[in-house]
Amino acid sequence: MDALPRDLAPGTGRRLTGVTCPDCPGSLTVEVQGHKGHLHFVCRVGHAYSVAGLLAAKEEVLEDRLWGAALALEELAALLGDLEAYAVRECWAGVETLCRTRRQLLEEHALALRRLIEQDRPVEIGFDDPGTEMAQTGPPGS
Amino acid sequence: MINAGRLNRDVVTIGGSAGSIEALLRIFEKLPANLAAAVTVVVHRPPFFQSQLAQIFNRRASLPVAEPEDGESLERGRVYLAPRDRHMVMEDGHIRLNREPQQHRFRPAVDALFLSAARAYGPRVIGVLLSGGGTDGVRGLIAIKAAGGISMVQDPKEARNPSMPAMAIAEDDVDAVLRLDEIAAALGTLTAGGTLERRAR
Repeated sequence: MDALPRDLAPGTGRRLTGVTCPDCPGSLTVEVQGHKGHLHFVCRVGHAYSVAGLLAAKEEVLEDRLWGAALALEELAALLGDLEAYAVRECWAGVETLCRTRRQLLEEHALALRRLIEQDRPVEIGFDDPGTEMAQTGPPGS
Repeated sequence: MINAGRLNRDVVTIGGSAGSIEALLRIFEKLPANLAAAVTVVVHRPPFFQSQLAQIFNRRASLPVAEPEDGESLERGRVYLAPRDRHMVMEDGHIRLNREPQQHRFRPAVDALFLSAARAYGPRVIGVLLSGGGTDGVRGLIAIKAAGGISMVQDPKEARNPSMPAMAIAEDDVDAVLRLDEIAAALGTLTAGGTLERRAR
């Protein structure tokens, strides 16, 4: 599935993308504004982004989801750990081992995921140096 | 030449984010007290906290500055500051405030104001984008220019955060790139139907 329409260009109107809105479950549309290729994204309800803003928001969504996954791993591991102790006290045959095996695997995954988040480097968004830009295009507004 | 047709550009829209408060103070101090235009302003501000921003501007400005009520009529010689957590748009001679979706994760958003101005007032509009991070206002400035209005940005070299003006320059043919002192004078000239020379910065 394409994220952006392949023939996206000025004058092609507002098009559906294969990307969801960072702030709601809706699909994003995209349109080229002006003649220098400015991309403007809007979802059905009206959340709006430039391409830089969309990238930044999607990076935030990614980190949120990764911490969500870390939480799922760590919470289930903690639950299994406490059940393991409970099973020992109540002498539930077999439950203790089952809990421990699964908990240990989850703890490994959780550590790996924390390492992944630690080592991840979101896109760094800059902008054209204005001096360079104007040197290329001549006096502003000319 | 800017405004060669000598139109009275009587709807001024200004947007900014980080670094724009001091920029606005400088502009407001120097605006002619008899400015023949309504001035509408969006600055990014936290949605949940009260602030005295309008009062701070009002103490230093040559024109009265206030946060409007929804439905208030748009009048010349006044500055309308978008309140927290509301988009401020223009419609039919009135200011409307709404809680439409955030744009660029901001409400109020500069684009919401600029787009509504372009739609409602076309060539009568001057859009000014000041210091600020990110890209809010770039799309709106394109729309103002496309509707026959004048687009203006603070010189990115002077702006505390150059992103918004620099992105506007990169993604459209902005009419004027000016320093703060020049912006106040340019607004006085253009709202009175005067012309500005284009020049390189």
